[in-house]
Amino acid sequence: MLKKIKAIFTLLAVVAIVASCSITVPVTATSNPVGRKVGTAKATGYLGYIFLNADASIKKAAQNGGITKISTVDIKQTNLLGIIVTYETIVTGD
Amino acid sequence: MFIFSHMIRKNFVPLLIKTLFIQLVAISAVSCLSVRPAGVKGGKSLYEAFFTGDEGVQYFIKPLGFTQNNSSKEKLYIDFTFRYKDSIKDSVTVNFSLANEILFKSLDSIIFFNREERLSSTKLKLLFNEGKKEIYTSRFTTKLSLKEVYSLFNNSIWKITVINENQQFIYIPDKKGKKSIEILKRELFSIM
Repeated sequence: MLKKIKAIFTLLAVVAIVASCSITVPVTATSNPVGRKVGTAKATGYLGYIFLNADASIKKAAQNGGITKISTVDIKQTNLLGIIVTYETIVTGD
Repeated sequence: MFIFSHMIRKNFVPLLIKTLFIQLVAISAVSCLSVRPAGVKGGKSLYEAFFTGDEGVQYFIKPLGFTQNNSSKEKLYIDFTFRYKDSIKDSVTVNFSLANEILFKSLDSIIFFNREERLSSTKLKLLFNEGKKEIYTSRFTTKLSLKEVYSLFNNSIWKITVINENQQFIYIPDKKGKKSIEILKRELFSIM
């Protein structure tokens, strides 16, 4: 009986920790206004460490948007039960 | 009496724990789904919006996927950036990546067709090329008018033709791309 209670509480704690969604946070903003170009770069990781050489760098996002003068940089992180984590870098500029 | 209270305690505590567990999972699931994680259907995961002040809102439609005759190797990813305030009058920056066994250093034109509208552009500029495992990725940029792009999103039956030196490459939206176009029409373009 005690084992069952411990197992259930452990599961409760795990669910509370890993059940999260997505959040976008700012990385940097320059004094430039929001540029007319936007570029993104995405990297998806599995089990926290398998990323398969994905590139979500600011440089890659700026390259994808044809941006040479960066205005803002945001990163969007999405977490699915802690198993699949996606990082998306979003860059605006000219 | 003692047996009765013992029986109640014996059944009640596990039942309480199970109920709490189900409630917690349900709350987590509902709160998670309402935030709309990436990959789940929903307009907000398909585009980004940036407030630019007097010029209104800048929208970035994230890359939509297209395939060439269901080929798994040859793909086209296309994204759109435009500003909108009160009227449909801006131009749209259209960037697209071609994943192909052929390296493209230039293109003659790109044509969009959705059975109602036909848009084309001959002013295509190469952004960069990169190669990985026998597949080259060529990224180009061009501009279209917002009015034309707005009518392009009227339906998801798109056909994109890329022309280079008399060679034609035809792309149609993949399953996810088709669904994304429909959601964008419903949740983004319908407010314009």
